[in-house]
This record gives sequence, structure tokens and C-alpha cells, in this order.
Amino acid sequence: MMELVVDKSLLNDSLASLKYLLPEVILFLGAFITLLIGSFGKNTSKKFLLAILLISISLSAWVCYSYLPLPEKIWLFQGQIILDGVGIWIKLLIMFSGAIVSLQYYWQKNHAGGNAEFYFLVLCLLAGACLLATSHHLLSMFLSLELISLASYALVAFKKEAFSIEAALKYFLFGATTTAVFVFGISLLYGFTGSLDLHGFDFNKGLLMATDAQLLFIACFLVFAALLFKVSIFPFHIWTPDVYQGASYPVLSLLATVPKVAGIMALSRLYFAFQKVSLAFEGATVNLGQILAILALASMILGTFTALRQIHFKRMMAYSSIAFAGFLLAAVLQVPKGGQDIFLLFITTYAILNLGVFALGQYYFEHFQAEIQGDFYGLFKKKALAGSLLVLLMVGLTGLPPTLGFSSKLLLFTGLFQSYQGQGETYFLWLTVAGIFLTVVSLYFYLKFPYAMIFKKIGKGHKEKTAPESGLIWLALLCTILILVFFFRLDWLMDKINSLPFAY
Amino acid sequence: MKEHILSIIIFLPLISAILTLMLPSENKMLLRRFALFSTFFSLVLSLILIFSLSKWPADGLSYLPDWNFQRLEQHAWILLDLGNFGKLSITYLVGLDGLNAGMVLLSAIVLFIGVIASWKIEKNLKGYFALYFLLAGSIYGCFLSLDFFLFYLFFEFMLLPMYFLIGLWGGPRKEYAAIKFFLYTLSGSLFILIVMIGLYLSVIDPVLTAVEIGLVPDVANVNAEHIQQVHRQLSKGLIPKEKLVHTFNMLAMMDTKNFIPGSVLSILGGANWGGHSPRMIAFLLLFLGFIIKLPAVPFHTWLPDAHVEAPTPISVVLAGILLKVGAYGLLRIPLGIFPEGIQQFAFPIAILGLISLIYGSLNALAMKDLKKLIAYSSVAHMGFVLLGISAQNAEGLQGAIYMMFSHGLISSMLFLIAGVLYDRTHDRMIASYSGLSHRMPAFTIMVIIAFFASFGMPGFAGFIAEILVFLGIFTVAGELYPLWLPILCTLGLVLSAAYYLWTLQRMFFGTFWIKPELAEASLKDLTTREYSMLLPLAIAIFIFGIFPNLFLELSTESVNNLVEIIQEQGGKNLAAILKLLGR
Repeated sequence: MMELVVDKSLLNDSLASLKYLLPEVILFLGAFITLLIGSFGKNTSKKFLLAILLISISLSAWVCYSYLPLPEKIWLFQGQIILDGVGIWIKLLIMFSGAIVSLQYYWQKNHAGGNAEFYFLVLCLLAGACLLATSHHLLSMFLSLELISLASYALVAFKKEAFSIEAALKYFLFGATTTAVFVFGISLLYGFTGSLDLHGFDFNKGLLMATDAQLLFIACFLVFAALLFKVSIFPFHIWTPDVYQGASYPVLSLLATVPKVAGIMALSRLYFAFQKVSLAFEGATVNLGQILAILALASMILGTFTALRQIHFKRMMAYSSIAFAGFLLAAVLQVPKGGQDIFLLFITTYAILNLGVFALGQYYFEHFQAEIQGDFYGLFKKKALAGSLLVLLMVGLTGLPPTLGFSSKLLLFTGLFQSYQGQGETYFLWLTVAGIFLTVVSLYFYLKFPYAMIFKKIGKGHKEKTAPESGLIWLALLCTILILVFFFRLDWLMDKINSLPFAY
Repeated sequence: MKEHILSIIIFLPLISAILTLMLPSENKMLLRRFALFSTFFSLVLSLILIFSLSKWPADGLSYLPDWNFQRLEQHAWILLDLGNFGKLSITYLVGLDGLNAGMVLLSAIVLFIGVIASWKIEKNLKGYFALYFLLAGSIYGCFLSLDFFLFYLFFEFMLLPMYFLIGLWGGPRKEYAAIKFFLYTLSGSLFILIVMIGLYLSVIDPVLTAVEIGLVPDVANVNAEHIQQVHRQLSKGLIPKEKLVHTFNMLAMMDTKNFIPGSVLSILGGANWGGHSPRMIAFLLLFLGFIIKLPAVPFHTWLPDAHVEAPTPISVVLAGILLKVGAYGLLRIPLGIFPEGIQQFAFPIAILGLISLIYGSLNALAMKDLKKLIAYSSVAHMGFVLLGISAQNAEGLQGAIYMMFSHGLISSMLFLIAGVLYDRTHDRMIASYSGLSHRMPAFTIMVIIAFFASFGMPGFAGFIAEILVFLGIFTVAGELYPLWLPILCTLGLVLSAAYYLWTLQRMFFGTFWIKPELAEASLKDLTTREYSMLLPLAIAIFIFGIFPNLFLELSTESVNNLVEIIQEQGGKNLAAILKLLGR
């Protein structure tokens, strides 16, 4: 284990750490610049703002990438933040999503309200997500979580329609509650251990020495709850459909990827720290893995079966994301068994697929006002390229070849089954079997929209706007090409992931 | 080009699909001619391939020394490093042997005839042919691939074009039929996926592992000696986990020495799951997956819907080739990799075959729609395939393969016949017609040939297949299953003769009458185009009925290899498993 020990003295440590915080600093700088421009130059062109945003994102991504190759891990700010290969990959994924989302917003028709504010919020959210993905201390986790949450509440309400205000309010109320729960959990853990540093000696000793196992278990679960809420795992998923439906497409695209990617990353770090916590209950021991596995299973089943009945594009995708969250949580569970690479692959696939699907959703919304199934009737004939892309992306979400969706599901099932074989914990087997069979069920709803587009005749209430072709289709095309290329050359992606130093 | 002929056969249709998309969509004649040319070229290629088999010596690959491949082509594709789980190798491995040579030829013939049958299709022709070519490419790929991942890729990918071809160009209930087809076959392939995951977790590639542990510098220098060394080290557990190269290579999976001791599907140190061996469960899952595709009763209900709703050429491809993918998969994968399974479950499989045969025939007898009748006769004939497989001797397996081939030709002809009638009157009800032979004598002759061939009249290809299957099952009757089973199967023959002859009598003989609503004037005899698709099939049915050796020669060697594997390896495995389970 090679650890770069940053200088002991507090000040020097902070100064040395700052160097590694540059990506986040760049994002914040970009955020302030956009905000300043927005407040003073009322007539600044949209293009200029986009340029600032894209420059800061790509600069930040470049700096992030330049840290590689990295010694196994670097602790920053006395262990508040950990910089490791996994974190860098997740950060790059967050930047990629951020760039796609801002382009989506740039090509969106009929904005309500200012551009500068939107870009400011996006940059704040990205910075928060980057911090969350690398925080290894409950306090920094809490702060970055709050940063993400506040930005996302505002973004959901950005459409300024009654429905989106309602959605934002719901999101806010649920979110505020879970924040409170999170803080309560932290305070309990602090009571047990006297520390909040996940890797710290005191913390781990405190966990082991805890006398009241039941309370400790509850405390852990409370801490998890806030992140489960962000990733929309059952039973904390209730906000998802309404918020998805209420948000505009760029915001939706953002919410479906960035906070979830960062949240699931933080979840995996938490699980890594807490995996040994277990509870003896009437003779039987329940460990945290079992509880999480049940939640993952429940999310998969609930998401998949509820999605079957949805006719609204966004709501269908909301339930699909709940089901996907179950898969992501399953991927987290096999991380301690050595499946980090599979976890990263799965999360990457999820992000790319969702970005592509939402870019296309926005495309259809802007060109045809298409949101519910009936609006999609016969649209394949009108736009064959977009239709084909939607088919491929949906096939990818289902997890069929020849898409990356298939490869990552295959490797996920492999990892789960391998973990089952290694330790013999039966929940891994259940997750594998359920995952495979839910794939068939999910085919039915994923194909719903392509089906309506291809097989049905155009209806009477067909509304077509003569919107000029926008760049949205290129975004979707990019995502589709990525999922196809990486299917045929999975080694290109996996070699990159494997070259990262793994640490938790 | 010689070395790459298999790849050319697979990729020619895929390239044609792209070219089709580039052609102008207004020029329909050009699209049709291009499709005809491309499939004809595939046909020529596959004929060259079949006729030059003996001239090209097999190039040895060190996985299965006893199994003779006529052509093998292997390229590295993906090699993943999965940390402490080891490495994972996916290769592009295609090969030709007796099991799939006939299937490639059959596909080439049927796909070519299918294009002629598509001549009348007007709606969105460009999309139609693009999908048709995608389907064709994945069919060839499925038959030729010897890497499980590649096989599964083509096997799954076949569903998408088929789904759209049925759903867009089909009959009144096309959407229902398309989604039903998709969901049924997808659930089948997920059973296969489960086993695929289990298999590649358990199996290593001895060649790549030899390189990985440093026995030889590169793949080209690996010889049998190194492989033995790898097997020795593997059985003693001397190879560290992260040096093992897991593989999807089916040839490696067929050798039990390549299984990692203690892994889930290994015999050595295999698992005991509550008194069941995972290998047996894997066999059953694979079996289940493939009989959904085959289909066998009770998983056959997608077939009548899909066949009836699909347009004529697609019905032809579906019945002529796609059902054989299921049957071929059965032969290649569960039988080759888990030979003990067929020994253990011969009787239940035979029963399933019997049920398919009798139930399919009885259903056919009851059908009022000509196309449905033909669809159910397919279910019955696939029962013969299962029966032949359950016999697990050379006659039975040859019979099963011959049945796949002959049924491919005959059912294509039958569906074309249904299409000819439907094109004229848009009515396929048997009760709507009587005495058609007076108006359409040439057509009637074709119908008689197809019907007689299908119920196994001597002199036609179907007869050889049935006689071989019966030889097979009567030989093992008393050993594997009681004698009443093959005797009951003969009832299937009688039933098939009954429904065909009865249909013939009702529709074609007697005084001429058709349902008054139908346009009588449209009942013209066969056109040149229809001759051009029915005649070749009829001739092929005759040729393969009179000279069965033409086909049997292709498959004999591989079938004997397979029988050997089933008898010897299967027996050994079964004994080991039963010992493990403590029985």
C-alpha cells in the first residue's frame, strides 16, 4: 500500500491538498463568473455563457485527468477527501454528463428565465457531485450532499410552471427530511465513535466496540438513507416520478445522472466502511449487506413492474431509473468482493444510456410535443434516424446485444455470481436470478415507445412544430455510438478502468 | 479468400444491409434485384463451400483433437482483465463441421427463395430488405459461431429484425404476434444466458492460459504437450486465480479437463445443490431455452401466431431456418457440453417429443386456416427432431439433422403454397375452396409434392428423415425407454397423412367451388415467378429424397463424434456426478 503522506502540519497539509482540489475550484470559479456576468451583463449572449461553462468543465476534466497515473490514493485535508482512481473516473463521468446537459439546455427552445442562473446552478451541482464522489468523511459528505440538493431543488423549479414548482416542493420536502435523518445518523455515529472519519482508527474501533448493536445499526441505516434517497432506491424512491415529470429535459438529464452517479459512489464508500456492521436479532444475524440487497431487489422489482403501466415517457424513465438504481446498488454490494471495475463499468453505461435517451426525449418533445405514448404514434416515418437511435438506446437499457448495456449486465451478473460463489451469501444469487429475469419484463416497457413509433399510424391530434434540426440528435448519436463501439471493443473501456489504481 | 470464406458468408448479408440503405428507395426494382443478387451470391458461396469440403484439409486447432472441423477461423476479439477474478477472453471463432454445414446450405437456399417470394412486397421495400439482410447475417452467424458469446450475440440479435419484419409487414394481428414472438424467445435465451455465465466462470482457455502462465511465448507455438501441462496444473490447483483465462470458447467447454476444479459447473469438486448437480440444472436450462425456440409443446404457442401473421417470405424464413436454430443449438450446446444430461433425461425428452408430435398433429387436423395447419405441422415435425435427439445414437441424430434439413425445404414450400393462394384471394380458409385442381392444375401438383413430402412419402426427403429417426428410437427402445413409445410415435405418421390428405381432398379435389365473396377470376395458375421459387424446392426435395448420401456424407463424421462424446464422456460424467451426489 503506497500512500502519499501529505505534510503533517495542518496549514501545509491544506495548502498541499488545494493542488488536488483544482478541478472543483475551477468549477466554482466558472460558476461565479457566470453568475457575475448574469447579474451585470443582462444581454450577454447564450453562446458566450455556454463557452465559459464548457471551458470550465473541460479544463476541470483535463486537470482531473492529469492527476493520472496516481499512487494508490491521496488523502486530502486530513482525510476529509480521498483522491483515488475510482473517484477520478467518476469525476470524469460527471463532467461528461455535465457537458452533455449544458448542450441540451443550450439547444432547448423557449427558456423560461435566465441562462446564467441555470449554468451557475449546473456548475455548483457538478462541483458538489465531484466533492461527494471523493469525500471520505461524513461531514464533507454531508456538505457536498447539501450542495447538490440545493442546486437540484432550484433546477427542478426552473421551468416555472405550476407542475414543476409542485415537483420541486415535493423534492425539497422529501430531501430536507432525509437531510435531517442523515444529520441525526451522523450524530449517533459520532456518539459511538467520537470521529466522523470513515477510514480513521477511532471510527473503526468505535464501530467494533459499540455496545448497543441495535442503535448502531439504526444509525448506519439513517446515514445510508440520505444517499439511498438521492439514488432513488425503494422505499426512498417516491419523489422520482413526479420530479422527473415536472423537470425540463436538461434538468432531468442532469438529475438522472450526476447526483445518482456521485450518490452511488458515496454509497459504495460508505458500504465499504460499514460492511462488517451486523445485528444479531433473535438469534439470527442480519448484516447491512442483506438489508441493502433486499432494498436493491425491491427497487428492481418495483421499478420494473410499475414501469410496465406507464404511458408518459418521463414517468416510464423514472421507474426505469428506480429499477436501474436497484442494479446499481447490487453492483455496490459486490465492490468489497473485488468488483470495482464492474461497478464502474455499470455506472458508466447507465449514465451514457440515460443521457442519450433524455436527449432524444427532448428532441421528440421539441419537434412533436411528444410526451405520452399516443404522441409517438407513427413518428418513425417522420424521423428515421432519431427513431433508430431510440430503438438502439432502449435495447441498450434492456440489456440486449449488441450494446454496452448487454456487456455491463453480463459482467454485473458475473460479479454477483462470483461473490455468491466466494462467500456463499445467498442474496447474491437472488440478485443475479432476479436481475436476469427482470430483463425480460423490462423489454416490454422499453420497447413501448419504439413500438408506438414504428407500428402505429399517426393519430389525429398530431402536433408538429416546424422546429429546425437542433444539435440534440447529435448528442443522442454520440451516446449511441459510444454504447455500440464499447460493446464491440469492451476492452478499450475496461483497460482504461483497470489502469486506474483502485482504493477505497 | 479461402481462409475467410466463413466470415464472408456471415458478413456479406450485413454489408448488403448497409448497401441497401444507400440505394434510392423509389427504385424498387433495383432494390429487389440487388437483394436477389446478394442472396444468390451467398448461395453460390455456400455451394462452393460444401462442394470443396474434402479438398481443403482441416486446420488443426488444439482444443478438440478428435473433432474434425472443415474450416476454422479464429481471431482475438476482447481480452479483459478482471483483476483477481482472472482474465476473460472472447474470440471471434467460426467453424464448419457436419452439424452446421447442412444448415448453412439450407439457409442459403431458403434465404434466396425468400427474396423471390418478397417480389410482391411494396411497402417500404428498402427497410424490408435491410432488415431481411440483418436477419440473414445473424442466421449465418448463429450457425457458424463456435464461441458462446458470439453465438449468443447472433442468437439475440436475430430477434430484433424478426420482430420488425413480423410487426410491420405482417397480417391483421401482427403487433400481438411480434411482441409474443419476442418475449417468448427472449425468455428462452435468458435461460441460455444463465448457463453461459456459469460456463465461462468455470471454463478456461488452455491455449491462452498456457501463454499467460509463461509456458510458451505466444499462441502460435502452443502444442498438445503444453495443453496437457496446463490441464495437469489446473487439476492440481497450481495456477493462481488471476492467471486463469476464462473463455466462451465452445470447443474448450466440450472438454471437461478445461473446467476449473471446484467451480460451479466442474465435475471435479463439483457442487451439490440440494441433491442436484449444477451440471444437470445447466443442461435443463439450456434445453428449456432451445425448445422454446424449437418450439416444443408446451412452449409452442408463439409459433402459430407468428407464422400466421408474418408475410409469406418471413414465414418461410421462420419455419425454414429459425426453428432449426433452436434444433441446431440443442445439438451443439447442451449435447456437446453436458453429454451426461441427455443420458439422464432421454426418456422425458422422448416423451416431450412424442407429445409435440401427437399434439401438433391433432391440432393441425383441427385447423381451419391453411397456414395454421402448416404451422402446427411444423410443431409436429420438431417433435421428430426431439425424438431423434433422445435416441442419442448415430441413426437418431442423423435423423434429427436430416429432419431439420428436409423440414426446412418442405415447410418453406408449404408456406409458399399458402402464400400463392393468399396472394390471389386473400383468404386462406380451407372451407372457402373446393376442387381447385380444375383451375390450377400445376399448383395442385406442387401442393401434392409438398404435402406428400411432408408426411413422409418414400422418394421425398421427409421420408429419409423419418425413417432414420424411427430406426434410432426403435434401436434404443427397451433400453432407454419402453417399446410403446416408438410405437405410439408411428401414430404421428398416420395423423400427418390424415390431415394432409384430408386437406387435399377438401381443397383441391371434387367439383370446383369457392366462397362466393372471393374473386373467382383471380384464380390463375402459377406464374413464372412462383414456378421459380417452388420448382427448385421441389427438385431439391426429390434429390435429397433419392440420394440421401449427398447430405448424410456431410454430417456422418461429426455425428459419430457427437455420439462418441455422448456415450463415453457422458457416461463418465454421469457416473462422477452420481457419485458426487451420493447415489
